[in-house]
Amino acid sequence: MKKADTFEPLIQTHISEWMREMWEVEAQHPPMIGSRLKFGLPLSPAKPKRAKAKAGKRAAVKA
Amino acid sequence: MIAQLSIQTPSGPQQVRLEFARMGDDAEMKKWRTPRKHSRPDLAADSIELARLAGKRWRYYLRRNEAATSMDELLEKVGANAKREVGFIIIAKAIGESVSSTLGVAWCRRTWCNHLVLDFLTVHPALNDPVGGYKGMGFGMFIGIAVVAEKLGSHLVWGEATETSCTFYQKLLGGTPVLDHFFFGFEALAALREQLPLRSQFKPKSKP
Repeated sequence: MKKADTFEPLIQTHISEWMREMWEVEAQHPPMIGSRLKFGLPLSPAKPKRAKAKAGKRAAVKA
Repeated sequence: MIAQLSIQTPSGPQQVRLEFARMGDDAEMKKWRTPRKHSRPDLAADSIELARLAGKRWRYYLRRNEAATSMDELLEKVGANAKREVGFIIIAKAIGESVSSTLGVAWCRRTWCNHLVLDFLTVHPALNDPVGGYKGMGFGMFIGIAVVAEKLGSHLVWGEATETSCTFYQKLLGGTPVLDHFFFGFEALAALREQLPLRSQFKPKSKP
């Protein structure tokens, strides 16, 4: 497969007026996104049940 | 690294590095706690919960080999199957001393038709206190998303805005009304990327 190109990062060298303006907006209106109910994640696999013998043993002790 | 930018903190500017989250990066997200003093504890609680939900989703994709932990890996996965859905987290790491080494988290998915969906975006609880003196982390995260979108050749980033965040996205889109969803097209993404030059654009030119 073709190797991916080297990724050149971007670096901030100055802060624009627009950026400063958005900072003020962000301070009052946080940009957080997400919903608690958005994803129904698959259930965790069921845990193995306790051995029946142990339950029987406890019943026997009680008796 | 995707980008390096500056945010505002109570003690002055803070340099932040945007990266793809790698194995183990979620450990720091799990350590997020509400600061003792916070003017909006509800927002702080949301920050923490959204980071945990994003981490949970990410780990699920990682287990299924459907998550990318670098730009190269993302391009490789998409290159192998153009219709593949691939998820990734963009993480904001503080350079130098800070309230936490991880300051922001964005969980994104590249869809089958090469659009990006932003499912979760959250910042450290200390950073979303309206009177806390921190500014710019969310905006910076979105610049990172725009950079990745360009590299993927993706011309659309969309997401579901909340009651709290819709005003921010409306302003970011130049006033286009935003209710519970937003669409950042090619031009809007380009405007975000223009906030940061490429490293090579300000390096001194080599001698002929």
